Amino acid sequence: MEILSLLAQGFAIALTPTNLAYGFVGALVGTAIGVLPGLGPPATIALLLPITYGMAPTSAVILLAGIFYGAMYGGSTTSILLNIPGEAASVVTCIDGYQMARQGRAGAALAVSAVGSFVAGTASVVGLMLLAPPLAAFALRFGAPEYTALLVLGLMMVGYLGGGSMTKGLMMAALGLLLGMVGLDPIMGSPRFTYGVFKLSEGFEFVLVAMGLFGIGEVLVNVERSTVPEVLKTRIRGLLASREEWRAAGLPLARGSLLGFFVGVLPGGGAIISSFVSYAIEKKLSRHPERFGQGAIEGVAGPEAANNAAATSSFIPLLTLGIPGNASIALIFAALLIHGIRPGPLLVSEQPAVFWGLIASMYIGNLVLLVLNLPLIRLWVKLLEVPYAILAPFVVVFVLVGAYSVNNSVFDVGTTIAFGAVGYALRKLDFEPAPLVLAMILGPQLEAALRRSLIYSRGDLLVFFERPISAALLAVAVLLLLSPLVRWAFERRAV
Amino acid sequence: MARDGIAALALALLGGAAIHQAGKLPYGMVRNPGPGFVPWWVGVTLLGLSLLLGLQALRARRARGPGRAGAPARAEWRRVAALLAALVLYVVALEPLGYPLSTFLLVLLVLRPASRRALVPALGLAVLAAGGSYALFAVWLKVPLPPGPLLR
Amino acid sequence: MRTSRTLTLMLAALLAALAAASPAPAQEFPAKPVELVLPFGPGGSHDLTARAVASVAHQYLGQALLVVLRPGGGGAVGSQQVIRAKPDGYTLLFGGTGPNTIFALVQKAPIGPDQFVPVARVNHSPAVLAVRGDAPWKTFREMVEYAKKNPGKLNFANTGPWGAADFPMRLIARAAGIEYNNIPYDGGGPALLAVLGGHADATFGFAPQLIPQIAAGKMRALAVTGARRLSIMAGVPTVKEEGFDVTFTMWRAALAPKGTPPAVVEKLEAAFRKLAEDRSFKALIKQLGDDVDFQGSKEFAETWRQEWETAAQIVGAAKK
Repeated sequence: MEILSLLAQGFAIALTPTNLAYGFVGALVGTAIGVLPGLGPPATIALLLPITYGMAPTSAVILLAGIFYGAMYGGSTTSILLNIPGEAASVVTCIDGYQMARQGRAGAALAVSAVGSFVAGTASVVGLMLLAPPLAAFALRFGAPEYTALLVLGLMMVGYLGGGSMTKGLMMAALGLLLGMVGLDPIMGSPRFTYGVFKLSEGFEFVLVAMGLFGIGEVLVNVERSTVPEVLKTRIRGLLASREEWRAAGLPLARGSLLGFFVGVLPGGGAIISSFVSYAIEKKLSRHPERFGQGAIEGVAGPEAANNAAATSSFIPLLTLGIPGNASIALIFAALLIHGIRPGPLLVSEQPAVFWGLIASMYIGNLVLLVLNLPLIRLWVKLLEVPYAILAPFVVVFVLVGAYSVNNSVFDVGTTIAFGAVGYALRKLDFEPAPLVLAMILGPQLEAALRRSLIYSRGDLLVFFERPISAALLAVAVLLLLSPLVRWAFERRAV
Repeated sequence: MARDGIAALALALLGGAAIHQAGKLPYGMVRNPGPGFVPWWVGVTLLGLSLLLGLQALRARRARGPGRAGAPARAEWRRVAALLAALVLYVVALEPLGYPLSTFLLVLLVLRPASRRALVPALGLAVLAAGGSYALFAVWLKVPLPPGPLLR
Repeated sequence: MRTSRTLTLMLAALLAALAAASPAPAQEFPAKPVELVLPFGPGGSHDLTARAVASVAHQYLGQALLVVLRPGGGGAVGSQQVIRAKPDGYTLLFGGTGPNTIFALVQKAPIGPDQFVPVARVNHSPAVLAVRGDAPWKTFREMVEYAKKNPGKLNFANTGPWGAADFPMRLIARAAGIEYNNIPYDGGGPALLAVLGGHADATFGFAPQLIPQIAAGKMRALAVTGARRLSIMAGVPTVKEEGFDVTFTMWRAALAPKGTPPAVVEKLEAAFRKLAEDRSFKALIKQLGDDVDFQGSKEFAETWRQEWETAAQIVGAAKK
């Protein structure tokens, strides 16, 4: 097998002590920034980029890639423990992960998410190794109409998040779309809904909105709850997950990995879309959908697997087409470029050492992350034994400093607090904030794709139905929309 | 569900406002949609969904009779309002007082309900939270947090 | 007592933290990393050039130069952000003809020469018209003929409205009397993906981004917009040679917000001047298919002003 010998060469490169050390440091730094609020992977990679100038190109890529997928592991930690999503892709993890933590199953949630990330990450590397060229060809078939259809379907699925009603979920998505429009219009660049406030013309930053809605909102709800603040139930029923929990998580992990791998190839919001689509699928398939939003392990396993698989497969456009799909990958692209390697369609054949070294380092990196994260779970769970009354001010400070550090701006701290108040109100009215945040991120992409499609088709709406991929995606969206109506009609007849 | 009714009304108003505001932006045409095109339709969607929720709330109410609104009791309200006010004050104070001092005060305020009997540990915790986070973010991670008169 | 011991420890830790946090003395510029805001998405030629600049800048600046991506609105979002930043030299724009001359004129957006102090121009490059490798047109003229026979049928992917791909195409369309379908994309990377995927027929790109695609046979260059051919693709004719009187080159320059102290601008300019002489930087730019063409702050301010006046006339005419 040619692939095996190439992979063996890759391992020979990745397993040199230097490269192994870089892989380890990358994974460690990635985990740390995933846990810290505010500082995301692109910002960290940008900061560390100058350090890589003196390294061998393969080492540089191994280090930076490690940070990128390490952050995906770390991002779920704060979501589960404190209801603070560190990355856009871990918003969905908050919903059931945090509920699990409240029920004393933080260890289980963290363990499933770590093992799930490992399984999905590793499976995705196998896929990347074997399927990169055909998948890149698949990604190229996604033009503006296909993106529009995918995003429309995605936003409908956002309605399934949490335990509330579909109507309410969709209302939150619509509200999120409106919030996403604050700023400059994505096609023409003219200001909208900014009312002369310059800060608004940059739009709302995801981290601020998410930390406010989730983190601060949660603290406000808890402050209200009782004078003698309730201690979070943290007595751990078995530190890691029980056998039943593993069994329940198995299939969602597999489905999430598969979904994440394929959706992650699409440039743009692949990891984010795959995380909530996975959640919606698990909820639809579950025999007890009412458990979702109340701490269902499937609602953690699926999305966590999906976002990690997607993080890995998002390397495919870079490695096969030479075009980076997101900001973090763009920086890795830059690192290669600085070392005189021009990623493009011929990268794999011209620079096999870089490609196979990276692949091998991804296998190793995922293992390192698992080994690193499992022992940390004990430490994280200990943190929850602190009474909430004492933990709360630390959470507030953590969130506010994080908000400040995004742009070093006091205005942003204010924005976060304002969204905290909104988050409190939403919770009081039984709305789930996750659809709002996700729709806010995807809104500008949807609008750009929609308007681009209409310009492309010269105003012909049939363009969405004539192309097979977009037609299929829209058909699923229509079915989803009709399914409650159909069920309602049936139930009526039965009564 | 009175709460759903309130929510439906509030979001319907917001949807209406969005439609009104989007109406002032160029709508363009289907052949080349302008900046007002998508906001207008999203506003319509939000308004429609809000009306749907309102209807659902009305039906549920007719089925079950007027239920108790889930509004928090007055004492609970006060605590939430107090914390929110403290947070707003914090934003105002951050620049003039500096990060360490205003954070110290905020933590003390947040801890107050739990610390009526134990002021000293509360003071210690506040010092730890303010100093520790300043050390971690400002000193180590080089985030330029406002130092305030204390450290200037 | 246990509590008081813990408390003492806490206070000790805090004091240590405070001691470490003693106010730094006023340092000389630059005392911290400088941000270079790139008003486009990842992967375009502007991005690649900025990365090359950043790769050597720390040697001459004494601090890291961080490239920050702020895409959107044809470059207006990132440009506006820099204008509103504190004019202390720590936030610079990696501006270009697209957003800071043409877009600024067309949208009357305040992101032009009146809002910035130039630091240094790094290079300027002609745009390259490229189509998919299996496109039916072998020459630029064939493509124009097709567009003439089928008005509105040619799908052109621009890299932002009135940007560095849109503008030359408008000039050509005017000179050749053709109609085409103009589809906006967010930067060179996405526009290239659209052409590769068959969702658009042609785009204007820059050599750095196109060379690997051309080498792999995925794309084909039909014409360049410079006054002369590009040395790295000597077989590709200029638009002028193909019979249409259009030339266009796009500059890339570091710009500081107006109000930045002259001493700071001078320091930055000096760093860029040395950087432009750097061997490895020159090699890198060469490898991207461009040439370094440095201009200092004052010199470039004049060049920019001239370009601004000319473009104002063209935009005025094109808008009619």
